[in-house]
Amino acid sequence: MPNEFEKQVRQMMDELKLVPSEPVWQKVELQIREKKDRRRVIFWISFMVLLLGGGLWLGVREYSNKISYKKDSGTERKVKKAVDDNLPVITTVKPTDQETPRHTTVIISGNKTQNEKHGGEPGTKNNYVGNIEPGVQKSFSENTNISTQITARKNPNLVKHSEPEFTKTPKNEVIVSQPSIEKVLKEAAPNLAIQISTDTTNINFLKKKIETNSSIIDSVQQDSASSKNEVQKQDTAAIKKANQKKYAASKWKLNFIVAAGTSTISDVNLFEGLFGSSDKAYAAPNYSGGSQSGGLPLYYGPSDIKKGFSFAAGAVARKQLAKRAFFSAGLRYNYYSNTIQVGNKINQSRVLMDFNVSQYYSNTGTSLRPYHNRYHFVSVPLAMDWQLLKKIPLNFYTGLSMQYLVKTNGLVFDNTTQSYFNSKDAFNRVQIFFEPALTYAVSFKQKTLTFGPQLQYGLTRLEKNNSTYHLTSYGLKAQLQFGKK
Amino acid sequence: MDQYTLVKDCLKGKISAQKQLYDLFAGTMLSVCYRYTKSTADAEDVLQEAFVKVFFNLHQYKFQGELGAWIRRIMVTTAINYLKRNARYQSELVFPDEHLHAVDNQSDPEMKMEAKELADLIRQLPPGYQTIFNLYAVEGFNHVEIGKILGIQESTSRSQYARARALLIQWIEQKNNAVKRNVYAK
Repeated sequence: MPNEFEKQVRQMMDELKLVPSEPVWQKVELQIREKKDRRRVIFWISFMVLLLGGGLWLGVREYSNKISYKKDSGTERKVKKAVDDNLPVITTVKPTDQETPRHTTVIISGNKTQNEKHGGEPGTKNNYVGNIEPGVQKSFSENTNISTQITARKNPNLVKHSEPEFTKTPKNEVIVSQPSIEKVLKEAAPNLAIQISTDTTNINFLKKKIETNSSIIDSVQQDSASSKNEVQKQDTAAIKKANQKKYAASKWKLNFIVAAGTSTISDVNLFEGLFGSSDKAYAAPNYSGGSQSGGLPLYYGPSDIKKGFSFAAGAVARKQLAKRAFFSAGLRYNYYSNTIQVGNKINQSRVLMDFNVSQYYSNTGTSLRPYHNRYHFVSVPLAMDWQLLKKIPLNFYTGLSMQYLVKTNGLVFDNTTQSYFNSKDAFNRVQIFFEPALTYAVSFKQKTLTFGPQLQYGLTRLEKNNSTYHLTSYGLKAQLQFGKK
Repeated sequence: MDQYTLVKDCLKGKISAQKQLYDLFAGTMLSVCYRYTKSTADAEDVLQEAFVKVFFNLHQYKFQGELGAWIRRIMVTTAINYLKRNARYQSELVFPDEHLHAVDNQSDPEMKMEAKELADLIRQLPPGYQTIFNLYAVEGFNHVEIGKILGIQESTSRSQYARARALLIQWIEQKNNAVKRNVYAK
């Protein structure tokens, strides 16, 4: 137990005051500003990253959907178009379960005109089917191998020229485009096997012919590539146009909204932290004063605040903007409430915070009673929502609502007189609310019911005075849409 | 401006209010920092660091109790952390985990000196003694709490305090005697 000595020491040390040098405050001020700036920067960077990340993610998903759509339906159309245009088409067929996964089946549809010109039979297409093993340059189907193998035995140089060139893309897609050469070899090789020993001039003739064909093949390959790009471009543009038309033509759908939850008043700036407690805003001091408080006057702060019921109902029109993006706008009624403790009601005309009031409530009395603050708003909500997953109807809503304070019995605390008073003029009539929500949709009988948690945070200050109180509400939201999504 | 408004204005980020709060408490709080450190520069470093903490944690102050006491707690905590991480103090803050011999209770000396002189005497104690003396005699913590704050055993805190107290009383008496001698000499 501290005795007299300790008491004396404590008393003397409490009396001791030293004067800090001027740079101390300057450093403190500098650090406060730096930290504040850093917090803001961190907040905005996180916000932008989230926004960009979300956008990018949605974009990538939209793009991948388009790609998969093209993969499903584009191949047949491409083949048809290319055949109609007399262009060679290279199609890669994925191996089935029974096939060796390391092999890719390649179907080469030859150009009719080119075949006719270079020895192909008129009116027929050269279709070669072969399994291409990764890493191996050639491996034809049985029919084509016969001629190649014979030729290879007789004249390796010829084989060098006669071998079809396989260009393998990273996706194991094989590009083979020598229908004319193959056709020539197919016919020439058996003859060569007999003639090569006696007549070498034929070989030279064939060599020349192959060389000529090589240049033609190159031009055909280029034509093929350009036509492929053209087809892809046309496909993309067509899909884009079709989607735009589809979404532009999509009708506005009527939705009824009901939301219920709890509301409170938070004394926190969204940019400093979202979920500030009301205790902080309204926690009442019992006493402040004494030597260590610097001799400040006795002060009773405003009451603690208890959460109250909040409710919203209205109708919105919702329109599809993209495959999984929607926009909605409408009209809504909002109700917020909370409860505080007030002292005696004093019926007396008085000017409080520049407002003429006929009655007010003291805050220093001993007989406290609950008082329910109620706020009635009419609002215009504007929101965007995105379906987050392809197959699951989970939507993220984000939006703003402009709310107009129609009626309130809410009390405002006057610090100077330490009393509460009611005046509608003491509130900011127009409020902007930030409203994120996450909903899940269930469809039944041509209707869609979406429901999930929702937050409403007043971005504007509730009161006109210097207080930083913001209305906040959180709860469940349900939305009924007529007609399936 | 009352305390509530002052705090609210500080929370809004008003520099003028923050300066006002600083001016209100800086003198008292510097004396706290002064007692825990060995130099005025160190004391001001602690003061600066602690005030930054005050402004950034002011939203945690719920008006329950004195604001001065709340700020003072931050000062003490910051001072102890400063001593712990500062090499000049760290070596002497190591408390040997042994039971030191208790010092006989001495009679309370007369306090015939200024507060600043007493603070200077406290600062002359070895840092370990100094911290424990400040925490126990001035801040009013008990030895269990001091043990937790400094990470030492309660018995260590108790015995070190006894030594610090004895040493301080001895110095105070020496000072008193010196004053007496001066008076007689005059």
